[in-house]
Amino acid sequence: MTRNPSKDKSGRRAFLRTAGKALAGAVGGGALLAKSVAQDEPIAGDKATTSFPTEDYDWTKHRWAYGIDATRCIGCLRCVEACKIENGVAPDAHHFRTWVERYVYLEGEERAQVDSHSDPQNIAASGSESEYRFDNRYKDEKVTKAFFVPKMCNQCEHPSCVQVCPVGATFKTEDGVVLIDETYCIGCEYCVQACPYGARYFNEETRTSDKCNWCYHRITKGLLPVCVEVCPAGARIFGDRNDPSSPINEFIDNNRIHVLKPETGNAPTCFYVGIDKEVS
Amino acid sequence: MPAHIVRLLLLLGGILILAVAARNYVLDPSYYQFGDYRGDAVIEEAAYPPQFRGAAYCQGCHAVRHTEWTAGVHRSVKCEVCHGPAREHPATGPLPIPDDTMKLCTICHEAMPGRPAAQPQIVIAEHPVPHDGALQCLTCHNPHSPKISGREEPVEAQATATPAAPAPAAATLIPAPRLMALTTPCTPCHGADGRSSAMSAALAGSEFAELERKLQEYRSGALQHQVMNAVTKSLSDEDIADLAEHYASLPGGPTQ
Amino acid sequence: MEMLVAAPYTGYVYPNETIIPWTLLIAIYPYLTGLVAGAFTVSSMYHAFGMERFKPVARFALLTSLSCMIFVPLPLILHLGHPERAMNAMITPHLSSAFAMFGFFAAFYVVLLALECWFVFRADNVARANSSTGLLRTFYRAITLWSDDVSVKAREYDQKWLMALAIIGIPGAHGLHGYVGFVYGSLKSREWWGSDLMPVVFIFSAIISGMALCIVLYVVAAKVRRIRIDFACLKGMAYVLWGFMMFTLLLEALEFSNIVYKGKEGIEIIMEYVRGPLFVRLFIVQFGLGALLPIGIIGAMIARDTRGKRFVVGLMISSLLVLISVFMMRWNVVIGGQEISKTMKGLLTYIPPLYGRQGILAGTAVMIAPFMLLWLLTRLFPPWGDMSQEELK
Repeated sequence: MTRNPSKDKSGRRAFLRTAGKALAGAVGGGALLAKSVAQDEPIAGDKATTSFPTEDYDWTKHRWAYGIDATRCIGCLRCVEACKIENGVAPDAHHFRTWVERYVYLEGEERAQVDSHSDPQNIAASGSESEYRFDNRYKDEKVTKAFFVPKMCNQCEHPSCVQVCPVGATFKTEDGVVLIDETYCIGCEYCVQACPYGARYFNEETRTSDKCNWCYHRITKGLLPVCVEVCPAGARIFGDRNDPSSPINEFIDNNRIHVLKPETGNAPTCFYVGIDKEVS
Repeated sequence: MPAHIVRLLLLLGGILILAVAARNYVLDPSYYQFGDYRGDAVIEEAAYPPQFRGAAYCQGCHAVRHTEWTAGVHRSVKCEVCHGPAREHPATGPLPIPDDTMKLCTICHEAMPGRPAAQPQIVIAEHPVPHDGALQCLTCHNPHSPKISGREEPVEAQATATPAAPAPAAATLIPAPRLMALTTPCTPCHGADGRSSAMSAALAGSEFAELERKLQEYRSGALQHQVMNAVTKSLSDEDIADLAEHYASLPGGPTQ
Repeated sequence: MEMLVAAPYTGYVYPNETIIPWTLLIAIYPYLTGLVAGAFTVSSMYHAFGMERFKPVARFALLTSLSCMIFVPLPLILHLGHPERAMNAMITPHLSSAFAMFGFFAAFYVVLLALECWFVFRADNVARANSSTGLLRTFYRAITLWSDDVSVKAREYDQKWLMALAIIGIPGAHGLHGYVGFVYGSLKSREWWGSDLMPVVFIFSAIISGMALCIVLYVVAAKVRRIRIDFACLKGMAYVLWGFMMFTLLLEALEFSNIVYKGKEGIEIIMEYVRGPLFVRLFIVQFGLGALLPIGIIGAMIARDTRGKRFVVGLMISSLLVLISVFMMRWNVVIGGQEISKTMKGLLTYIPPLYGRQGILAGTAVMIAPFMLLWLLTRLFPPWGDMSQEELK
């Protein structure tokens, strides 16, 4: 067997050239990857061992829940107004973190008439889109049954909105609140579509999705959500299920509780008393 | 392998490495800390300052008003519901005091189907007597303690005044039931003893003729006063005479 | 800046629903991905399944698919509240979200499509590189990665790659568009959307839209270039279109009748919607003019063995009707779903604005852009037949 020496030489050189290039590429690429992976420690990383998210509030110690007693709601809409002020929600008729619905059964009718303060007639009664009031259109009618139902984000155990968010901008916290990261949300509004309850909306100012978050900035400071704070009729109850003395536990234990649209499987943590078949 | 395939693979590989490196570079360090989200977002959300401070905050400076309020039926209506959020008050100046009370108070108290019976409700055009137009609630009601159960006194006077004397026996021959019916609208402002308060004129011991004239002038509209015009509108001449006689006969002088 | 357009409504709707979130751009987007999938299917009939009949249109269909694919992200970017953060979906994809998975599917597929085009046109590009001068030569050299190897061995490699890409590309294309259907079909918040059939309906209507587009473009291109239409190819496409159309109509009818038959709570408002605002859009345009009529026309032409100009005209009309019908289907699903309130007690009306990022003008521009790109691509990479037949001009 003889080999052509010149062919061998060129083959080896070619091989070494290619191998050299490949090695350089691999080292370069690897260095790039390694540098990119070695990040600064997360800001919150240090706090993983201490109380999170604040020094005075440990989210692992609380399990928040909300109760709505629709037998007590007077439809004054102070909650709607206070929420908008507290959370900087657009003062118009199209963006609400919480809202109230009115159900009226007129004599002889099987289905309820339903309206909210966004109804043009109610807007006219209040004077503008940033003032909230129900008109008294049924005062001369024969009404068999009527009631008000406050609504908001149900902070579900299995939130549809969290499931569909493509970037992880909405998520459920350890203490049971579904939050929105407004610096990360891309504003695709998939979550707005996915929510069965219509609780989410597009915030034109931040250009992200938005919704009720039980005034997270208040409950982590020992305050109540502002809607609960201002309700004059005691229709809204809020508390910590881990605290046996909390009013929410009394509410849940002493009443027959409903949730909205249970067939979705979302398992809301807003519990209703006093709604009826028309409410969904 | 043909050269173009090698170059293609190198190109694709290079793009992939660049993409992964770029991804790791821009990835927020607190992401994936607790789950598929930025851990820092929770800290940021919790850090927002509250706008509504709560009644305990108001109590710090407005203790007397706070006491009056907690003692009354409006203790479930928080200060900021009517006055707006405290925010940085008092540093940023006084909070608004609502003037159109008829618009404000009727938001809760207008009689409306759907409101539970436990909620005090009025038919606006008929409260306290049929009237046509804007009769401000503030005319008769103290917004911080609005229930009218008899004599209305400002809180300061209540703190220092002697306990209210029982209504003195009237020295007239008007039958008691009729007297009761006639004076019911008058009592909330003028007091059962007609000796009134800072809110309204003293009637007790005034001249009969003057009381009668005044009532007639209110009824005709010659004298303008929202409440007086409303309550006198349906009085007959005999009603006016009886009322004037009753108050004229009461022991006189205002309490202050 | 942008005028907030609140949708008028009847009945009761949730207060947050009065601003309709997904606009006409979001109806255009599945239409574009549908064209991508359909055109790729036409191309694959030759490149993957080796059906010689479709060779005349195969490379052109591939370029069509690529042109549309490049513009697929555009309506999404225009709609997003924060388009500059769009890459978040690839940096930290939330794996349970159809959107996030779609991002990877789309990225994978655009690379696949580009690669397939690269291999298909490589030999021609090498020839053009050798015969061009100046900037164009640099362009072709770069595109061919500075290789001019068109030896038999190289071409064999190309063929293997091409076959692999074409085969992977079929589930890729259909997965791409199936995911769009899944975006709607997986939601339980809207009964109009939440259906197991939704991804399948989307895929099949995508195929017919892509095929119809290829037919239309092939005929138009032939007219513009003044060459003879390959009748066997055209008739082949007509057959395939006809078959898929019948199945698509069946699927769409099945999905709709399922809703009606089950009659779940809220069916009254759905029926009110279908009999009212949706009647013309659904029954007249989508099902009638857009499905039954073209099926009838093509069926009649096949039965009578129509040929020549009459066949071309009949097929063109049918294809244009299909294109309109599939767009209407996308509109009826995306916009229609939002016009039925989640309360199931009210209906809204979407009125698209004329101007603005999400207006009619913007949408029209998005629809036209792929065809302008296609024109450019056919100039740079002429797909018509082999280089040996074509004059090198």
